[in-house]
Amino acid sequence: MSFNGYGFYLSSTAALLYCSYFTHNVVAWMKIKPFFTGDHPSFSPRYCKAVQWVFLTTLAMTIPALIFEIFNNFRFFNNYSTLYQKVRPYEALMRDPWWLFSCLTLFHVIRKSYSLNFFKLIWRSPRFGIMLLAIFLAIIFTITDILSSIISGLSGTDG
Amino acid sequence: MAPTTFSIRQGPIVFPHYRRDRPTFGDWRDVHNTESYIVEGWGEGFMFGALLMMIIITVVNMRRGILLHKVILLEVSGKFAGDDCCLPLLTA
Repeated sequence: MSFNGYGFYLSSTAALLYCSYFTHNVVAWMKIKPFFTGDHPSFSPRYCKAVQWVFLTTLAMTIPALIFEIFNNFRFFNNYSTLYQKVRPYEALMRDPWWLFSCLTLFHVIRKSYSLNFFKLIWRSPRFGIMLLAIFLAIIFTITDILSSIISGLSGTDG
Repeated sequence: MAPTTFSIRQGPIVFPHYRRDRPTFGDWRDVHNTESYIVEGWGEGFMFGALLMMIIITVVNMRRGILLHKVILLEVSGKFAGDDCCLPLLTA
């Protein structure tokens, strides 16, 4: 290690990163909440209720998993255990589905309420194109990240 | 400039063997591969710039009294601090 406590530094900043993943999903919920609750929901009441329940419950269930990952990260970068390497490929499952769902919901609701087709909407408001492009880039990066932690020899270090 | 012991082109030729004799515990400084240093340097540079731009875009779009904007700023700041890109500031 380059200096004493480098592993500790890496892991404590990574802990902030995990908290930020969770905050990102909370932000995603805050953005799409008006479409599912309130006076004029955009979907049928039954669907709204189901989405609200499933979204919030599963999001709450990621908290223990993220705490476990923070702990695991400390153990890994301070040379105690290599369990982190085994859990690492599944990390995307506990941070990505929620914000993907909310981005696609946002896109769907706007497309429906302005009754425009896919390309027309992007043509009228290019920022939706940028949003979709960013989603695809994020998915590609996530896949690359998972591959680099599964295939040994693809990255210089393990984990 | 200090002479480097390891050739810059060593990567693909030896790559299944130059490590794996012991676990590196994620420490890219431990594998003594010049390419790891370069990739890490570029990666942290991109990360620093991207997150800085994201913070700037968030701040210029903020309005008074909206909780969502504050939470987004909190999240982006958390990512900024969390991505090890402030490391050069510490080790300089």
